Amino acid sequence: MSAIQLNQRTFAMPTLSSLPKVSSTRMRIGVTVVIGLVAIVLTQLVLSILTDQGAYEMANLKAQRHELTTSSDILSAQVDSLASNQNLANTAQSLGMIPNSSPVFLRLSDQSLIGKPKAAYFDANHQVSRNLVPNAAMTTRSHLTPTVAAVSNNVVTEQLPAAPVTLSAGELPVSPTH
Amino acid sequence: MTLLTPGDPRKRRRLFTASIAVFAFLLVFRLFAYQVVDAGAINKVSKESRSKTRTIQALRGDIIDANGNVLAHSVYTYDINAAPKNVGPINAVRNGNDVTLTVDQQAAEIARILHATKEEILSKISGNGVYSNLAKGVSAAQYRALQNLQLPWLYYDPILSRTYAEGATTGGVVGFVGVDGMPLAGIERQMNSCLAGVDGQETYQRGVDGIRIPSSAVVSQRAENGRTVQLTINKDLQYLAQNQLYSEVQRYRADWATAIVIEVKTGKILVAAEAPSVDSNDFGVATDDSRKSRIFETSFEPGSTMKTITAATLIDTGRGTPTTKTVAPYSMKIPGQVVYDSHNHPTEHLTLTGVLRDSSNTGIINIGQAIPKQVRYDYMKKFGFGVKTSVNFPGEASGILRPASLWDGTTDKVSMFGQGVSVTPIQMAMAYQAIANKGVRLQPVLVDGCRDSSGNLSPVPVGAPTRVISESTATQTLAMLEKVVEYGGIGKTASLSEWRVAGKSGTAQISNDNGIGYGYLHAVSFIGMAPVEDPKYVVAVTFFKPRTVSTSLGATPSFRYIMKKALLMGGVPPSTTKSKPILMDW
Repeated sequence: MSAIQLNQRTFAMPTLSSLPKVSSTRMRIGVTVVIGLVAIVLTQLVLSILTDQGAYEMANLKAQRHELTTSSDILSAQVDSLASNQNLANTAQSLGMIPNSSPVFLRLSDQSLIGKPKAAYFDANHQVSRNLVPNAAMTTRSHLTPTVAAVSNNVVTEQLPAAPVTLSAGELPVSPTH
Repeated sequence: MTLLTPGDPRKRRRLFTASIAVFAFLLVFRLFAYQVVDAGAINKVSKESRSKTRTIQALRGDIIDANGNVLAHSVYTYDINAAPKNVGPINAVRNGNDVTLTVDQQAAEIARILHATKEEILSKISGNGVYSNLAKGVSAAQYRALQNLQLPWLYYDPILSRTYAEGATTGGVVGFVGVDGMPLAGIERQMNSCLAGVDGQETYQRGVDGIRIPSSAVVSQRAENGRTVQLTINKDLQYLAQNQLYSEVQRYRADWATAIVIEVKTGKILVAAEAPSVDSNDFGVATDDSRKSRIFETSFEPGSTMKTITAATLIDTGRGTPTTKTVAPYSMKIPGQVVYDSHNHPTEHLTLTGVLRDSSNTGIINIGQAIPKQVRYDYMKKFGFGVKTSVNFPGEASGILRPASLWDGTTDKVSMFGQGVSVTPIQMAMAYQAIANKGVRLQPVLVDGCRDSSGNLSPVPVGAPTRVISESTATQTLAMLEKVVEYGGIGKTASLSEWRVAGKSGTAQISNDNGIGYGYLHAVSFIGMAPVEDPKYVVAVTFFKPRTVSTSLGATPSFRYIMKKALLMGGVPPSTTKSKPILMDW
């Protein structure tokens, strides 16, 4: 009985039929979309990596720029110090330098000399005066090497003569120092 | 049982499609709500969590001298801070070796760089705080040295500061800027509208790691750096004058001294030196008096340098000539007091030129009283006394020149030789500039202009020239002043062997602080011009309250030194002509 009934149910089941076949066009579109999506994801991933890389590189470059700016500031401060009149005055004095107290001018129009040329000579009153003007920005000073200091000491003690330079008319004075 | 019944596939598909459609609709609805309805609020919250706004600091402009040498510019200095709670022994590399440094050793290293003691540093890094300032405004070199220590508990804040390469050489003129960046004195203050930049603003976004997201920056306001102020000062000549004054102030134990060099044809101030002066890098250590520019801000009774003005007035009004004769006794009674000459002498018979040569007080009164006081007052006004110059320096004084109607009998007489009126050093220097410039007084020029980043210079307005005396009067006055240098007891010490020099000394009494009477110390001056045949420079030197000299002999060495340097640096050839004789005694 039950077998008959089962058979009857079996017979009552509808016949299975295959779905309509997907056309090749639709297939291509599907594949294209999937490939496109994958490509987009991959591109986004690559861009993201590159962007992150760029951010770190930029941070690194900024740090480098800061370091270089600091180095530049340090060097500028040293140059300013060494070029300051205060440092130049002190260095000139330690080198035994003497200002020219007898100016001579050459007038080009008639090639004549104006002024009385005299040789520079050393005495304490003529030496460049040491610096007295404060300068807190002068953090670097000229350091004379022992050789230069020794030479300058010799110059100071040499006591050059104060004899005037003799000239032929229309000629430039020749320095008596050698 | 029904459920087990195979359904219609089309029906199932429709049901599935409908469900998807409903779900999609819900998503679209929500999306619309996010993207359109709530978009503004969401964007705001999002940006706030990722965005950071920072100020782009504008750089303050430079101050440069006449030759483009930088006198003031902006640099970064650093505040050094520590987090005491993190301080402890660390492992570090020193001289290539791995070492463990105790807190004591770390403090000693910091102290060496900051020029402090180890104890000072230790006191600042003890405790459990998160912030302690160790030093403010340290240099880039110190900052670099501290960085190299690689101490993990040290932090650095960069601060924009000003540095002045020439220190006190130009301190009085250039002024200084406070730690908060506010200009406090001098050109820094006066020309702030040119020097100050405009800060900008930038907003950018950060990732979760705090790193700035590239291309996310939006500059809402671009920073505009300040422009450059160009002065007329020659910093080398200024230094030579300044150093000379420092030396002489020590030698004479004077309160202070000033020296001015004016270019006669342009009115440009090449030197405005004073000692002691403020070092703009370290203005905190200067006294209040040294922080200002006395050349513009201090007035005093000038003394005998005013006799030149009286003499020029006499000639210009036709009431005298260089050879007008007068008598000069040692003393003379005037209303309210007795006037003396500087040294005892028998009554002398002098011309106006002789009066200037000997700087006779009685002589100038005798000869000058021919001028009505109102006329003298008018001439003094024309010479620029009693009003500020067009430099309009911060805190500039106008001096004191009361109306002639208020002059009493004493003032009427003593004002002829520079007492009873007060002037600033720049006013008196410009009065002599008028004489050197054929009678035309120019307004002094301290600032050439404001230069933008393209190099375009916007000149600063300068007051109009004033014809004070005729050209003939100026020439005659100049000739008389040359005789002062050629034959005067003090004047001779101002002469230069290579150039013809004209000038006048002044030894003025200084009124007591309470305004009653005069003290025993003086203000000694010498003002002159060279070369006389075509004056290029006026040099004015003043020493205030020198203790080891009481006459203008204290001012002439500096005058000679500065004038000679100015002539040499200006390339002025030595004089080739000589003065003409003028009758001085009769």
